Amino acid sequence: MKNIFRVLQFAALLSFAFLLAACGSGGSSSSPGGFSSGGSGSTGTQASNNSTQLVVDSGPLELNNAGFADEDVPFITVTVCVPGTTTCQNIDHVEVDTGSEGLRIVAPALTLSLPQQTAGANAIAECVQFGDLTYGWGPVATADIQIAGEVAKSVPIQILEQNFQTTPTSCSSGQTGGQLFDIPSLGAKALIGVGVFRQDCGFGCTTGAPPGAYYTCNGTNCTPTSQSLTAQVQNPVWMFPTDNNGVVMTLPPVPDTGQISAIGTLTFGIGTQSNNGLGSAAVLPVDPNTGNFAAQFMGTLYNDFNGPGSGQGSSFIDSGSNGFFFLDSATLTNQFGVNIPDCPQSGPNALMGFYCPGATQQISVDVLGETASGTPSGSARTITFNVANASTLFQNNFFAFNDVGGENSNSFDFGLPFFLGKTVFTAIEGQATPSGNGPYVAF
Amino acid sequence: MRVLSPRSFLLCLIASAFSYSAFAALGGDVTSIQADQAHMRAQRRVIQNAAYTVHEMKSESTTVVREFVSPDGKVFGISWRGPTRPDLQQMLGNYYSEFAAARPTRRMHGPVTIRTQNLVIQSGGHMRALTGRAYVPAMVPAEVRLEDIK
Repeated sequence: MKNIFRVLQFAALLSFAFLLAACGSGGSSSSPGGFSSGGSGSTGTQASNNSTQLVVDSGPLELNNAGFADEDVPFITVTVCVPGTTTCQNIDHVEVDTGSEGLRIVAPALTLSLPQQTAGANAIAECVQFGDLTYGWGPVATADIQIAGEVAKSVPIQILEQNFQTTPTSCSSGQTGGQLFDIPSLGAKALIGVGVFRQDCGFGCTTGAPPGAYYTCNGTNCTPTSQSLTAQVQNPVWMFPTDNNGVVMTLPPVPDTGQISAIGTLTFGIGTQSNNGLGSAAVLPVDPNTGNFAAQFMGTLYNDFNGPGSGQGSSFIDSGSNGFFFLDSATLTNQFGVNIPDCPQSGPNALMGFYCPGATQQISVDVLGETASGTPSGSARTITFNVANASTLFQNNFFAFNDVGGENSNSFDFGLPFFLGKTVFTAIEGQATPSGNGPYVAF
Repeated sequence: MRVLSPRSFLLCLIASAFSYSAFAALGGDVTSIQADQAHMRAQRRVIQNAAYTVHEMKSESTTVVREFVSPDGKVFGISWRGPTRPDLQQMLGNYYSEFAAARPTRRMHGPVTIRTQNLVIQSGGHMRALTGRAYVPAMVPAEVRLEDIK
């Protein structure tokens, strides 16, 4: 994160580029019924426009105006409508997250009044927790969601509010990363989770009343409740009438010194049109319980399997992570003889969470599929990436980097830098694709 | 914090539904795990290793929390994995204020590692599969490898 006002000098330029880019995608209609026909591959039958611009840049103007900008965060523009109406709003700089499911809009970025989900007389709200110790809280609402020519109708979404009723202690206690409720705290106007699951919680929320998930609010008093699969916040992609089995993210390569921004595409569907085929991409089945796969680094396995001789770590591809986050300095040095120190924690070059090697280090790690029991499956595929000095790289005003990394004990988290120069497929659970049902990732 | 008298490991083998008032887990006595178990409304099993004991609890949300106990009956580390994080204020006990004071100073878009004078906390993962651990380096028995706290 850059805490600089110099960002402002070119934020306007970037925003202009973003607008131009959005125009190039065929534009977004203010009407949910406003399909723009003829995607890049439309021949014969009328194909829906299934592709929109994906931009890695300095983020929303409101974030820049607050003096902040984050590296390696991918954004799209989403149109949100009151269900069944043409009362709509375009929301730019919605962060694309393959590590979560569902649309979550910060209240200050939402101008529409969307219908609140209720159970009897009670409002339904949700708590959401992220790996960085942050949390979000707010009502579940319903919206039509339009992206390019795709429309998902009456989708349960979440509105992230600072003071919705009374935030339950069971949601906020111990979450020292703080609450995500506005553009500066989220770093985006909204988060759109397009990961491998259909719902954000799944069967874990359909019985009992687990704290930290769904809540029913009697007045200001919100208590944990169960939530049916259909009422849960949904990955909007699987609710599209077509192109609903997953997403394809394509981003261009960038120089090792970074680039001011990167512009690619987010395409819906896998193998449903001429622009979203798997081609030679290798399919990596993920654990249907966790969405994780297995990573093997210099003989040590990092997967979900909870048993002898295995790592009990977790490895995954996540566009919502802004680095290659893997292991930690001590483990890399002591166990593997790889010298990658953390960035300074104080002083002018202080940078929490990232690696700052003296010279760029190359890392090679094998990844394998993973079954429901957490055991590795299939043949290995090697991922090679570089880790450069993040503190040095971040000193210029660039926002797309392919070579920043940081700590993540017992795990390999392949974040946005992994996507640069690649086409990455994320297939949704239970949805048919030419290479079988999701969940899987492919690249 | 009140202090419970030490109990035998045998007692700990019995999954207890008894509710105790809030006792610190990390850094605390092995009996403090029962308070965490009650807080989580969790089922518990105990795994005996050569150098330490693991008390594994599974909450209603299917999150699995493990507490690592040294031979002298002290909780030197905890880990979690699942759809929700355990209440770290409960799990970290007396170490919580030290942890809270060292909260991330920047907005993160990825996992977090926090090192304080007495504590290391690492948190990461993604929706449905949050992971993390916390340990007190000075309390970790010499025979225990840090990478085994998971």
